[in-house]
Amino acid sequence: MASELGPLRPAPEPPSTTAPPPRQGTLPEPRSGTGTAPLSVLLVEDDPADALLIETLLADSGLGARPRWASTLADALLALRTRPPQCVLLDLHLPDARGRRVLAEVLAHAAGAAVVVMTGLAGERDGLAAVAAGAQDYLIKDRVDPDLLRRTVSYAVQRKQTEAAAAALQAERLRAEENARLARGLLPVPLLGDVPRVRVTARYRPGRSTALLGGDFYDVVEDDHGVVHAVIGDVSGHGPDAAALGVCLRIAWRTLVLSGVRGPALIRYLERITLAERAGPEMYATVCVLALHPGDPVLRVLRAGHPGLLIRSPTGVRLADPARGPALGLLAGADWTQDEVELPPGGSAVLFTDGLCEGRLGGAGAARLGEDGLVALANRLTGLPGPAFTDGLMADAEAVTTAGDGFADDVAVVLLEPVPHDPGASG
Amino acid sequence: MDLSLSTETVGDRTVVRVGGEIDVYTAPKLREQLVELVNDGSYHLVVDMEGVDFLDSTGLGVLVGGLKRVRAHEGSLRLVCNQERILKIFRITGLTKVFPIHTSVDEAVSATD
Repeated sequence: MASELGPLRPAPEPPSTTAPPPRQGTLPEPRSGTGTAPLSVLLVEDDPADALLIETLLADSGLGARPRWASTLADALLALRTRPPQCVLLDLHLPDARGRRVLAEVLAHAAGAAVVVMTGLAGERDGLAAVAAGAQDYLIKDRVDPDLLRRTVSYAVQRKQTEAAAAALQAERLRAEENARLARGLLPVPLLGDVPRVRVTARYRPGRSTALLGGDFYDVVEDDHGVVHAVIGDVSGHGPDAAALGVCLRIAWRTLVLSGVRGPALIRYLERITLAERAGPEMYATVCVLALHPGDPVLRVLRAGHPGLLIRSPTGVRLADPARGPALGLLAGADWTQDEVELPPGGSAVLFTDGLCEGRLGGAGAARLGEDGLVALANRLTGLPGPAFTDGLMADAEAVTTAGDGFADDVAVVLLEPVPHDPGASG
Repeated sequence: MDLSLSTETVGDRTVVRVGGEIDVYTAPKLREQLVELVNDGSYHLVVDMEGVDFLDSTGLGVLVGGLKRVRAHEGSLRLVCNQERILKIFRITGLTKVFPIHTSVDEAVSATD
């Protein structure tokens, strides 16, 4: 308690048990909120007589506060650091500092504590100035009675708490807005023709820690020739830098596709963009892009450090592992080759980011779902329509993680189902 | 989950033994360790990954960052890894072309380019 700090001394016993007797004319107040912990108060006062007066008033106030006492600014700052109080009762005239400097130092170190400045009779103006500078309230020492002290301290603490809660709420709101903005940039509305050649089901789930937006992104664009292009990607790491690079790569991909850039050249451009736009040398990105030509069951696929894709047929699901090159931003002079994956009749392609199969399985050890586990889960959902399959797969992959505590990382899944463009023709 | 780190000097190489999970939460600890070693003049590093249960993209990024740091001093960063799960991550991302990967610490310590 008080004896932990140098110049402090033990607080007086409650007045009901020993002298001094309760002051005349003050009714014993009920303790603030019966059963709650007494307020912690730091009394910063160099005059022992004044300190005793305030302690006695506090004892009579019903706040249940047993103040710790610091008689210099240095001791006050030490006390604020080691055991932050809820309220500081502060005299501005101390042996080692005076006036505005005392207040500024105490406010800077007070963190969540309410600061109530105590002035002398002639100090009304100092008190008002202190409140303007950030103190919660002020008291004129010679005019204080226990009731006024109780109200002033309680209200100051309450105001400080409200202030802190409002600030936290505001920070939370700003972060949510920022995440929403970035999420919009990462997860667009597919750019398809009036009569879409594919049905797109896209899903995104943020990781367990929503404060850390990841860099997963996807996009789908149909070009003037009816070719449907899709991309899924994952920027390493989490947070605004990863998300910003994800947005950047998605827009770059969309622009390149609309400009007619195809194949390995497109990946080389994305590599250059990654190198130019990333926030630090540790960042890299993985992507998988595919093109689906009208009436052609063969998918053209390019991979840069990204997992494979799931190929669904009406009877089952398999993992396709087409040729791949390195992730973007890792290897100087890297190159990528295009590969082909055949889509079975009535089939669909499912692009995903690795968060989908990184979920930690229950039980001992650190086993993860993995790609094989994912395929096994997917096969249990054979025959479901695209959206139900996608939702089911994400739900199942999440459910098998430990205690269902959810995906640690972001997860994006995009399912592409060709729809016969001219049902009368080849089907 | 936790990450454990220990270092040992073998000749002109510094072996960093990593255990546990290298993910978004623990990767900064590994980064600090690698930065500290390079700042102290250790430019030939061997990162022993045999005790690593999990490695995510942030962790890979830290290893890549470490490689770039030692290369700035004409150093080297070798990995020791026999776990198929972890090796697969290096293969998929193309990092097998960047990092020399060895089957034992002894092999990594005595390896020359």
